[in-house]
Amino acid sequence: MKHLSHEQLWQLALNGTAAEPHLDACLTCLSALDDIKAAQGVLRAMPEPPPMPAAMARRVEVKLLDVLEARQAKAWTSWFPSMPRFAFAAIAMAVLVGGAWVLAQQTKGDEVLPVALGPPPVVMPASAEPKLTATVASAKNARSSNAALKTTQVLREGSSLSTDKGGSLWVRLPDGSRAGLTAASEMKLHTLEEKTLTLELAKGSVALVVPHREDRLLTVRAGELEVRDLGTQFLVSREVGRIVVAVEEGSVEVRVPGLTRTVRAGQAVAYQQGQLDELEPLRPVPPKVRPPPRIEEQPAVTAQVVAEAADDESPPPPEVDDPAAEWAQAPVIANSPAAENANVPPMPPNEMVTATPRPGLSLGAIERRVNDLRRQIRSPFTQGGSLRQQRARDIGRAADAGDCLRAVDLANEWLRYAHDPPEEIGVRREVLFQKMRCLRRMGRVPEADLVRRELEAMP
Amino acid sequence: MTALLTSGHMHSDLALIDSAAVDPLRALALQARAGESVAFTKLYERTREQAWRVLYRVVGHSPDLEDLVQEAYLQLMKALKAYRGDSKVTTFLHRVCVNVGLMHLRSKRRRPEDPTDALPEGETSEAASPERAAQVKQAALLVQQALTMMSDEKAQVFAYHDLLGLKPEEISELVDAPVNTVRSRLNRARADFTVAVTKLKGRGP
Repeated sequence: MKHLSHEQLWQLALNGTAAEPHLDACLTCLSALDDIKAAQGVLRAMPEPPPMPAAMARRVEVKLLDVLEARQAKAWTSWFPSMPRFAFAAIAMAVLVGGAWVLAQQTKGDEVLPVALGPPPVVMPASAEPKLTATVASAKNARSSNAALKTTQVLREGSSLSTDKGGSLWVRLPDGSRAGLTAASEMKLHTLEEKTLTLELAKGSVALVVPHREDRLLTVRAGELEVRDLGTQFLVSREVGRIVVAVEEGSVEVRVPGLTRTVRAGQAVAYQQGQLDELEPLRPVPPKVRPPPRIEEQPAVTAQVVAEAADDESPPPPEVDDPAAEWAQAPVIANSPAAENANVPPMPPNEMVTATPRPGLSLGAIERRVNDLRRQIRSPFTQGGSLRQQRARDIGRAADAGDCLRAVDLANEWLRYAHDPPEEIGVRREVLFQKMRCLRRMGRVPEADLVRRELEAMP
Repeated sequence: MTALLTSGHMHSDLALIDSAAVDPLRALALQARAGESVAFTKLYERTREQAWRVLYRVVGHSPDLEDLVQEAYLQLMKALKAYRGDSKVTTFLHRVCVNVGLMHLRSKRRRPEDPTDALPEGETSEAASPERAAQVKQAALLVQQALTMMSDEKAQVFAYHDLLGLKPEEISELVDAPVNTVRSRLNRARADFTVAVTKLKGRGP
């Protein structure tokens, strides 16, 4: 008698055995059927999967995000493992052997062909010019290398200066120029030499009151932008993605890669996205409301007295024998139209009566000026789709490069101007993702979760 | 299972674009393959329940489930590099999840039993009655042990058909074998499963 196949028995166990007479006569098949029924019973008793716990889903997502990030970061260096390591070793060995051979040849040459003894070589220093110093003219919540700065403190080349929120700092440079650092700014005294003065603005704004001198070059660098003074009062402001240069008086030369441009009094330019754009003409900064000194009641004052009377944020007084500094600190004459009407141009130097600090030069006024200028700048994020997509890619690049702070700033800026046309939804999602990723990386988890929820709510 | 995807073998770019337009998962998979991390996370969000169910069916109520889901998506990330858009995304996902689950069961079988290797009963949906909970736990354990006693090929086909409820035609795509081969492999797998369960229950020889 032929037994039933396992397949037939499986079907019988599923559908019932009533139609199978073979089972009445075959104990082997009956026993096999019992086993199959038991196995099917086990399968039927299997638990129904509950929904995936939300917390677990989130945790897995976070882990996956970390892996994705790591992979993206690795992608930059993915060529390395693909190149055989022995090739690196061979190249390194060749360089070492080559270098050793060159050295050996030089030594050998010296031995065989001794040169005539001449005067000992003069070891030139990196720069022949003697190093000068700058001094702190006034400081409020300002520091250098984490130490608070004090008035008259001497600053050497290479000093990094910074101001806290609400802080200000005026520095007198060796040539008599003055540099005013507004709140939350960072600047380095890169070079302090007789013929070269170079400041590097890392962030925030610096105002310069500079007597023009042909015999030295004063430069302010902010990223790839360089401002060279041509005798002026100007300010340079640097923030994420753009740099603003505004000239109050005189003119400066602004240099960016591939372009040099002279910016004159009343003009301002913004450098962003590799482009130097002119802003609206500057309006004079309105002076602070304060009772103007009366000439007939106020005798000619010394520089020291003026300094005491001045606003804390005003620049330090000029040296008495420094005509350039006098020029820089054009006065406000009591009851003069300049004091009453901000639209009147500054008084020329030859009309000075007293050396009261110029109101427009207070660092507070400069900050207001910078804010005005920023408002004028047409944000690149408000422009057409392709540029916004380009900016979105910048955000990704910043995030990939680990510059999370910048990426978040750029993302916020991008999102501020987002108006969500249908074709922008995908880009917006990417921007939100990069923001979430950076916030997480910076440990700002609650903010990241908010962004995540926003992402989840998107179509 | 969500029947979102269209079947067929379309190899031209145009066809891929068309299919991606019709099938959001496929579009996401293609974007993820191109390196778009947002697309991958979106894919995860839309398919994680399926992955979870597959893994739950295979490995049961295990504390390793979280790691396994993660591992499955990491495997999927790799597998997507070879994805051409001509098959269902869920096909990829099922295959990856079943493989990850079976691999886990085998590795678990090799290492000594961990007394903490189970979640508290209170977390299971079947824990309303203690008897039912014990039954469920016993059944899951038997199935997992039986799967480890089968060959890879048979365990896969058995899991696809009898644990996940896929049809032989769908399994044929998953295991890249003709439907008849799948059917015969399934019969042999069921026989092995029956023997394994009988043996595990102590009724066998």
